[in-house]
Order: sequence, then C-alpha cells, then structure tokens
Amino acid sequence: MKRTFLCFLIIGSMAACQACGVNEISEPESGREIKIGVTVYDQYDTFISSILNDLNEDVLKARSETGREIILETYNSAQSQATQDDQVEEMIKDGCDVICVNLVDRTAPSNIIDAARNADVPIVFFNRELVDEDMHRWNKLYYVGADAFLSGKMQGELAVDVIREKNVDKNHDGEIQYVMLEGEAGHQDAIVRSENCVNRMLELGVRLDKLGYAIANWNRAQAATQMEKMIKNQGSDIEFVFANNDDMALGAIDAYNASGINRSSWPYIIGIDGTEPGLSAVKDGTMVATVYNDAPGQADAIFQLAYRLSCGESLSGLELQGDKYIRLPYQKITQENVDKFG
Amino acid sequence: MNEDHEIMLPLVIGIFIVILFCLVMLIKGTNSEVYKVSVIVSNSSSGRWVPFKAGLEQAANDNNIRLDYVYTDYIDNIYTEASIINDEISRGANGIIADFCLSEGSEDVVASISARVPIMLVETSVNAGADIRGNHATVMPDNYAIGRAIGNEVVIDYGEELKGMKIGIIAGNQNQYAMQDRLKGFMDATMKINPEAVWCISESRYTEDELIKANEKNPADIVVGLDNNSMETAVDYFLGNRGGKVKLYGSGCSKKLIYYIDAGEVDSMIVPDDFSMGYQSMSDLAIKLQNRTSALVDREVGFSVVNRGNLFVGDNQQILFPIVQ
Amino acid sequence: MDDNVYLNQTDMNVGAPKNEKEAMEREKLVKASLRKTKSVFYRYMPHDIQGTILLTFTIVSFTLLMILGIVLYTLFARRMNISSIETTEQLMKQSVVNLEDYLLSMRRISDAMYYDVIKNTDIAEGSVDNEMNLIYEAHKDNLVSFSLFLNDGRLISATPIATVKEDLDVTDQVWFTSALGKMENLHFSTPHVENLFLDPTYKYSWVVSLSRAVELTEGSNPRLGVLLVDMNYSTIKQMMERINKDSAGQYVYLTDSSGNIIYHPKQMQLNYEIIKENNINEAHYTDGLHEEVFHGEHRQVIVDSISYTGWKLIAVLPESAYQLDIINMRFLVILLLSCALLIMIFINRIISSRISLPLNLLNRSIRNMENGDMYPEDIYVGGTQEVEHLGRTLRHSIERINQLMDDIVIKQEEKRKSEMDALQSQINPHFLYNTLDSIVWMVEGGHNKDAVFMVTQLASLFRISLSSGKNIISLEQELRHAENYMNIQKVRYKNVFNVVFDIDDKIKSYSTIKLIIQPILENAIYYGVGDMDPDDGGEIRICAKFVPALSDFLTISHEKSEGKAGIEDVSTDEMIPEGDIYIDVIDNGYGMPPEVCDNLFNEEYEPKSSTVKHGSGVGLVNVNNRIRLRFGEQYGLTVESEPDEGTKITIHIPAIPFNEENQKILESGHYRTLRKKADKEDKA
Repeated sequence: MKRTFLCFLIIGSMAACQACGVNEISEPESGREIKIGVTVYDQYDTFISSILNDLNEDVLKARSETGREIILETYNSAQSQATQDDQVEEMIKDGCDVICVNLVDRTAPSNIIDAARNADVPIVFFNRELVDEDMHRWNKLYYVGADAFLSGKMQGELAVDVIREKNVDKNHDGEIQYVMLEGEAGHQDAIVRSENCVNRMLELGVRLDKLGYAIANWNRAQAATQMEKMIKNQGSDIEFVFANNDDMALGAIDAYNASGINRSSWPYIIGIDGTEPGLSAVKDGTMVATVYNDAPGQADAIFQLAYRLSCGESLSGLELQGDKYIRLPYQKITQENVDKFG
Repeated sequence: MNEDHEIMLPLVIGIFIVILFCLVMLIKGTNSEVYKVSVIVSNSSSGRWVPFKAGLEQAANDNNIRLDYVYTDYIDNIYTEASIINDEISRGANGIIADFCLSEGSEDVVASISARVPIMLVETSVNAGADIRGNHATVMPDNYAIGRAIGNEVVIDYGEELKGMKIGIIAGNQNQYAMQDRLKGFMDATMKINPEAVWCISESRYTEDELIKANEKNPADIVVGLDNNSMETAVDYFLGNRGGKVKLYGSGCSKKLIYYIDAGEVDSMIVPDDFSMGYQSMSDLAIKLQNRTSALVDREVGFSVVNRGNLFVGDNQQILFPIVQ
Repeated sequence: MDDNVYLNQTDMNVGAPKNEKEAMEREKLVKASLRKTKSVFYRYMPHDIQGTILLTFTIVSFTLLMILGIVLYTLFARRMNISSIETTEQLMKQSVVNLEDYLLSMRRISDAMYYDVIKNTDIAEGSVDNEMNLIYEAHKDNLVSFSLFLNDGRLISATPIATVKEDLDVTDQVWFTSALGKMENLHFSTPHVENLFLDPTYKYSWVVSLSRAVELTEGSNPRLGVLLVDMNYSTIKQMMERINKDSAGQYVYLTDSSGNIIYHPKQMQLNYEIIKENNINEAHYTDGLHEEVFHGEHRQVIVDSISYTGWKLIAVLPESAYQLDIINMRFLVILLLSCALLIMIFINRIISSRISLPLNLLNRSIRNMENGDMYPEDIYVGGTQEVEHLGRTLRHSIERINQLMDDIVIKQEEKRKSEMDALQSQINPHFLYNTLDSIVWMVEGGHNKDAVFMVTQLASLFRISLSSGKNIISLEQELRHAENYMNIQKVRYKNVFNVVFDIDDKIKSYSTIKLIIQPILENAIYYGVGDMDPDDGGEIRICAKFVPALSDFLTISHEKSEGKAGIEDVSTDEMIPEGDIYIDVIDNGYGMPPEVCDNLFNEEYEPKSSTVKHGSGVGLVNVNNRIRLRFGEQYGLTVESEPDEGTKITIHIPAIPFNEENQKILESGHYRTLRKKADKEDKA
C-alpha cells in the first residue's frame, strides 16, 4: 500500500510540476499599461515617417484622454526583412500587446505571422499590403492602407487635367512623352500606381509615349540619380514625369534643379502621397499636383485598431472590410486646394 | 513446499511462454513477407506501356510488392514468352502478370504456370482451362466495345459518305482474342454502311512491309489501327508522307499518338484505361498472394475517347499523361 | 416506431414474472458458481506460510508492476505520439522553408525577366528572346518554358524555342486570366500539362505556371501583357517525395488555397478514386494540428501554409501509422512486465522461504513429536528471534515432559510391583499348596524320584521368581522359570498335555522383564489344555525367536502395521544386532471366543459370563502393561485365538543384550533411554 501510495504521489507531483510549467495567460485588465510595437521598413521614408509622427501624436493624445500608460516602441528595419523578423520576435518577447508592421518584403511575411500566431499577438500591417493568401493565414491579421488603384487613377486624372489645361505637349506631336519613376520592384503600390495611372490616361484619350522608366525604390536620392540619367538621355523630350510617390517626384525636381535647365522648360512632375515637402513643392509650383495619401488618417486607423486590439475592445465602427482591411481614400491635391492639407 | 510448487510452476511456465511469445513477436515484428511479382509484356520499353507501368508501380507501392518489370523485346512466340516467365519463377517471382501473344492453344502454358504461381493476364484473354483454384484471371478492357467505338468514330465523321470509302485495317496481333474482338467490333459498327475493307493485316515483325505492300496495291482512304502498335505503324507510314493523304483512326495510349492528336494529325482515338489495368492486376495479385485462399477474378477496365478538344481537360490529362513516380 | 415501443412494453410486462423466476434461478446459479469458485479458490489457496507470503508478495508486486507498466506505457505512447507529431512538424517547417525558397527563386526569375528585360525593351523594336534564353538556360533544371504574351493572347516571345500549337488560345487558360485579374500579384497555378508548344519528341511536361501581368512598351505605347514561367512540376514532386520517402503510414501532400491537390503521394489513385483524401476540408483548416475522423479512420492532420501562394502543406498522420510501433511497444512492455514478474517470483520465493524455513523446521519437529519422538535435541532452534524462542521453549517443555514421563514410569512400576507382589502372594499360596499337595501324594505313593524332581523344580522356580529382587533378568532365566513351572504343572495335571519348547539359542542372552511367560502359560493351561482329556493330545508350544531389525524405524512401523503375521517374511541379517524378540505361546485348547480375545487387554471390559476363573486374566493384562511401560507402546502382547482350535499369544519385546549396565538402566526406568543411548553411540 505504501509503495502504491508513493507511486501515486510521485506521478501526481510530476503532473503538478508540468502544470506549473505552463505560462499563465493573464487577462487584460483595464488600467494596465499598453504596449504597441511598430516596425517600419525605413523610417527615413518621408511618408512612413509622417505616419510615425502622427501615430506618436495619437498616442500622446490617447494617453492624456484615457489616462492610461500607452507605450509606443518603434523599430526601423532599414530595408532588411531579416532584421524586421528579429524585431518582431523581440517585440513579442518584450510583451507588446499588438504589433504594427510595415513590411520590408510584402511577399515574405511568413516568419512574422508564425511568430505572432505562436504568441497570440495580433498584427496590424500597414502601407505595404500582403497578398490575400497570407492575410488569411490567421484571423488576427489586419491591414491599414490606402486603395492603390485609386491613387493611380487619380494621378492619371490629375495629369489629364494638367494636359488639357496647360501646354504640356511641347513638341506638338499629339503624344505626351513621359518617364515613370517607380517604387520598389514588386511593390504592389508601385505596380498598381504605374499601371492605373497610365491606363486611366489612355482611357481618357491621351496618347502617351513612354520614354523610359526607372526604379528608384521610393527614395528621393535614388530618384534624383535616375532622373539625371534620363535627363542626360532624353534631354528636353520629357514632357511629363510620373512618380509613384512624392519623394521620388521631389528627387526628380532635385535633378532638374541640379541640371540647371530653365525652370520654364521643365516637364510637369506629379507625385503621390502629399507629404509635407510634397505639399510645399505643389505650393511653389515645382510639382504640378499630387494625390493625398492620408497619413494622419492611416495613423489614426492604425492606432485605433491597435488600441482596441490590445484592450480587447470590439472593432465595430472601424469600417473594416472583410474583417481585416481598413482602406482610406485618397484626395487630389493641386495648387488650388493645397492649403487645405498639411 | 510442494503445495506452492503446484501453483507457481504453471505460473512460471505461463510467464515463460508469454516472454517467448513477446520475444518472437518483437524479433519477427509484423513485417510481413515482401512478395515479388514479375511483369512480362511484349516490347517492354514501348511507350504504350507507360500508363500501364505507372499503374503497376502504384499498386506495387501500395501493397508492398516488389515489382520486377522484365525487359523484353518484341515477343511473338508463346514459347519464348513461357520460357521468360519460367525463368522469372525460378528466379523467385511469387506472381506473374503477363500479356500473352497467343490466345488459342496456350492452355498448357497457363496451366503449367498457374500450377506454380498465380498469374494475371492483361490485354487479352486466352484459351485456358477451368480455373478451380482461382490462380489465373484476366484484366482487360471490353475489346469488342473498343472496336465498336473506333468504328463509331469513323461512322460519325463520315456518315453516309463512308459507302464508297476504302478502309485499310491494321488489326493488331490477331493471335490474341482481344484483337479479334476489336476487329469484330469494328466490323459490326461499320457494317450498316458497309465500306470496302481493302486490306486487313495482322501485326507481326513485318507489319510495316506488309502495310506498304498492301497499301501500294490498293490504297486506302481511311486507315484504322486497332491497337497502339498498329496505330503507331500507321502513323509512321502515313504521316511520313509516304502513304498519301489518309485519315487515321484507332486505339492507343502512347505519348507519340497523343502528340499526333494534339498536332491535329489524328482526329480522335480510343484510349483504354491502361493505368487501371496495371493497378487492378497488381493489387488483385497482391491480395491473392497475401491471402492464398482468395481467388483471382476477371476484371474489366474502361476506355475513353479523346480528341483534340478534350486532351487537356480535367481528369483526361491525368489519365493521358500519368505522373510517373 | 410507436408500435414497436408498445410491443416492447407489453413484452416486458408479460415477461416480468418470468424474469423474476429467472432472476432467482440466475441468482442461485451465481451463488453456486460463486461457491464453486470460492471452493476452487480455497483449494488452490496456499495454506502454508511460505505459500501465503509468496502469493501475497507476488500479487502485490504484480499489481504494482501492472500499474507502473500501464502508467509508463501510457506516458510512452503519448510521448511517442507527441514526438512523431513534433518530428513531422519539424519536417513540415523545413519543407515549407524549402518550398518557399524555391517559389521565391521562381518569383525572382519572373521579377528579373520583367524588370530587367521586358521593362527595358520596346517589343515593337527589339526582341527579348536572347535575354529570355539566357535566364532560361541559367535555371533550366527548374523551368520548362518561358513565354510572354500580349493581353490579347498573342505570343511575343518564348523559350526554349518551340513550335507553337496552331490556333492556340491562351486567353481562357487559368494562368492567363488570373494574371490579368489581379495584376499586382504573381500567380501560381495548379499542376497541369503544358499546352502551348508541340514538341516533336512527344514530350509533355507537367508544369506549375507562374504568371504575372506585365507592362509592355510596344512602339512607345504602354500595353499590358502576361509573362508566363512554366516551372517544372518534377522539382516540386521531388521535394515532396523526399519528405514522404521514409515515413511509415504518414504522408505529406500539397494543395492550393482552395484544396486542389498540387502534390499527393497517391495522386493517381486519388484521380482514379481508388483512395480518397479530405483535401478540400483540410485546405481550409487553420495552420497547426487538427484531429479528424475521415472515412472512419481517426487521424491527426498538421497544416502549414506556404507564404504568398496560399498553398497548404498538409501532413496526415493516420492512427495506423504508429500502430505498429505501439504494438511493438506493447509487446516490449508485456515482456518487461513478465520478466520482472519472474524475477519477483524468484526473489519472493527466496524471501518467503527465508522467513518460513525456521517455522517449517520447527513445525516438522513438532510433527515428529506427534509421532512419538520426544527428543528435545531434535527440536529445531534457530531462525528469527521469535522462532528461536519458540523452539527453545518447546525443547524445554519436552525435556520436562520426558522427565515427568520417566517419573511416571518409575511410579507406575512401583505401583505395579506392589500389585504384582500382591498378585504373586495371592497366587503363590494356591500354587504352592497344590504343588506341595502333589509332592505329598507322590511321597505317600512312593514316587520318591518324582517328588524330588518336583521339589527341585519348585526350588528353581522360586529362585528365579525372587531373583534377589531384580525385575530385569536374562531370557535364559525367564525361560527356565517357564520350564520349571510347566514341569510342575505337567505333573499336577497328570500329563494331560504336552509341552514343547522351541527356543532360539541366540535369544537367551537378551534381557527381559521377569515373570512374563509364566502368567501366559498359566492362562494357556487354565483356558486351553488344562481341562482336556489326555487322549485329546493337548499341547503347549513355546517358541522364542530373534528378529533382527532392518532399521529401527522400519521394523517398528512394520511391526505396527502388520502385526506379527509377517515376521517369518522378514529376512534376518546376522550383522545387525538390533532387533526384536518374539515369544509365542501356542496351545491347541478350546480357544477363546473373539469378544474375549479382543477385550483381553481392555482393563475396563467386564465379561458378562464369569469366564474369568482363578482371576488369571489379570495376569495377561498385567504382563502387557509391564512390557509396555518398560519398552514402549509398540511392544507388548498380541493374542490370536480361534475357538476349538487354540490360542496363540505372542510376547513382543525389544532385543536388549543382557548385561549389568542395561539391566541397571532398565531397572531404573524407561527402555527409551536405553535406546537413545544406543543411538548416540551409533552416531558417535
């Protein structure tokens, strides 16, 4: 009997030990501090940095309103997906309640999704949209961004307006010679913006002549370099410069500034995003127009989503499409209405 | 002292038996014997056996059978075939799958083989004695129906025009019941319109020469190949622009023939389900080998009509282009 | 339905009393069988200490072993299951990484082709053939073909250069429509046979198409096109085959996001519906481990997603996959349990015999004691403290008993002696009177010679009778006493009977108690031949012989069991001095009726008719008692009598050589003491 008893005792204590090993999952209680982790592909990207700033402001505002301790941890992946994967792991280890990710490589979110799922930490992706198949791998994945199709179309429409109003067709051949400054190869916004912009213009009856294109990775400096090359090659043939974002448009402006070409013979330059420098460029007329990508709106949406997720509050009222997506609309910016923005 | 021996001795003996049993089970394990099955078909590396072989391999894999697909040349002699089979049996084959080149008069061969190991006949039935032990059976398509299907294809394409047409038939190996059935089926299907069959040659080593001779003597407008080999011979001759413009019909399954359908040279073809033939024959044989009391039974496999339109459609591509492991 | 219920109810109602009876009968049966099992149980239950200890220990240890075994087995089986799942998960993870890498590299090829070649080329002016070929050559192993189509389906460029099928329409092929449908993404198709080119070597390849929408420049005009990379399906197949290579029962397959199978180890069988797969459902499981029952088989399913493509890698672990291992382990557990049980039995045996051996030895001593061996030295003393104490106490008590017994013998002897003296003094005057009367008659009748003989015999008789107060005399003397007595009686009875002495000379040197034959002779004369006519030929035979013992014990038991009937059978061996002496007194007189014969030594028996004349029956009882007292229970008198045939009375005494020492010992008490002494000497 004693031996049997001992046996049970040992087995029982073993079981108890094992049970103790399991981490206790603490219920989120109100008043607890909230930790939001953010990782961005490149914090020096103008648009991304403006989102970050807005996000910070939202946090400060929410802190004073709710009186809750909200911590925003921001990481810069510096264009390396591997770094970003590590950062997500780190944030999970740090105990972030929700993680906001601006992917470096939108086709490679596997590690991040797996890590988050294992730790049951919801993820809000933003700005860089991953494919549907990946979004559906887990029900706690969200996306906040703009509708890229719309931005391309608006850019095209803005360009058509300009073409109709102004004397764009300098050589009067009935075709608009243009160059395209594209974002990263494979980035859905880059593809969609370029494609839709051109398509929209063709739809609206503008004849186009593509003189060249360059991939400038959303980057002002790269755009300037690429533009310089094209100026060298195409000279004054270029009548229109389309850029997938404002930074690259500004890069093109930089290149023209540096080239010493007379301001009056510059081609028309159009961007997307409506960042601070972009808006000022529109104001001073160097950039003919841009499409307002609502950075504060996106930041707000990201924050609302992240805050509610970390508090376990309901997500209703956030205008979620398919329970996963928040897409904010674009707005056209021209010299006339530029003062309303920024 | 003696009293407890009375209880303990049987107990100890019982435990020893249990220990021995467990030891035997552990050492012997549950890995059952791996049977070896040899497959003997004429001209084993021919493209026509690719789906059949795929079926064999899959079934062998599923049933833990060691498949020995014997390399052979063109076999047209039953005694050559019997000696190959006998060699395989003496080399340890537990079962045989074979395509007999002769149906009539092969009773002795079947009897002598099935007395030793179970044998599965494919492609064609043979004239074999009563099978009490269930040691041999046939897996083949409904050959008469195939013949009819070929005939129907011709009739559908030509309708009444067929009346004046000259038809040449390469009738496969007419020593096999299967080919006889197909020929009969074809004749029955075209009987109504009754086209003129200008020549009909049985397949042998010299089919091509015979074909050339026959066609030169009496050129045909429509040539029908009743099996894969006949069809390929026809394709080689007539599409090599030597035989003039003729229409080809027939049955087959090799990639070469499918290519000609794909290329539009052949309109339609009857494809027997050779994968099933291989899979069925092998898995039946496996069951027979693993359970000696069971009996082999005859089975029929299907066939389908393919043309250029349905070549890549859905399941057809899986059947026509088996994914060979 | 309702009818059935009703029927059932009535059935039950009708059947109720029957059921009661049945129940009672059953109960009886159960009880009977219970009793039976109980009896069987008791039959096989060990009744000794060792058996009990052994059985208890074995049952307890076996129960413990069983519990341990079951616990270990469950733990182990669970562990095995978990570890096989873990292994599979590991394998899956690795495979997913490999597949993702592979698919990524394919996308990179597409990217390179698009961004580095197509975007830079105006298809109206230049051709992308060279670059395409270059990239194709670099990735030949994984690619089947490369091709670029315009969005109207027109082929712009393709490599390896091949004949395009006539009237080929790609616009309704899935890869084409999906590429244009969502043009920001790359699309992977399910495997299919490439249907673009005609290869005169009759080659048809299974491919997975990777297609994307591309922006082309045709004569400066931007146009949309589709870039198609046909990946060699066999690469994926090989990858999957590697995963599936050495798995027993479990397998991994690949589906697209909607459950269409991309790879399955039994793809052909699935296609022919020889087997079934739960692919459509499983593709919609979330990543991770799932349990399901599919076609009656319980199985575990691990799902993992391939990024970007939405493909699912699904591992299926049917229960039967590790059934074999578990069966093997079951055997192993049983084997170990049995071995442990065997060892337990042996150990328990040793332990139990250790505990019970001293008790058993003690018990055997006691059993011997029951058989009459009252030797304190034979009592086992040893083993554990308690048992040793028991033994010692027992030994002491036996010593004490022996002492008391000896005392009783002496006391009894003394009592008997006084009784004897009384008897003798009763008898002697009669006998003396009669004898003297006879002598007077002889002298008167002038038979002087006879008178002298009589007187001589009488004198001898009295000398031996007195024997200077000793009780133990030699047999020679005893026999002479009997002879003297008979001689006197013969004269007195005027020779109506004969007396025959048949004496083995050997026995004369052994000891005996005195005056044991004479009472018997007296008895024989009174009851047997005394009243017979001289013509009847009455005769009294006295036979004395020595029967050597084979061994002490054997002889005793033999004597006990067979009486004296088998005496003649016992072959003698001169070498052995030990043995027994038998003195038969046989007369052919009237004999005794059986009841008298049977109750001759029963002191409480009161005969109905006064067959006891002269009170001489007392003599036989007396003799018997004296012998028994002196030598032990196995000795004494036996009587065989047949009415009208005669009587045979046998005196049985041990053969003890007559010397002073033995005489002294025997005088003082018990024969047993003497015997023991002899034993001791033997051992020494």
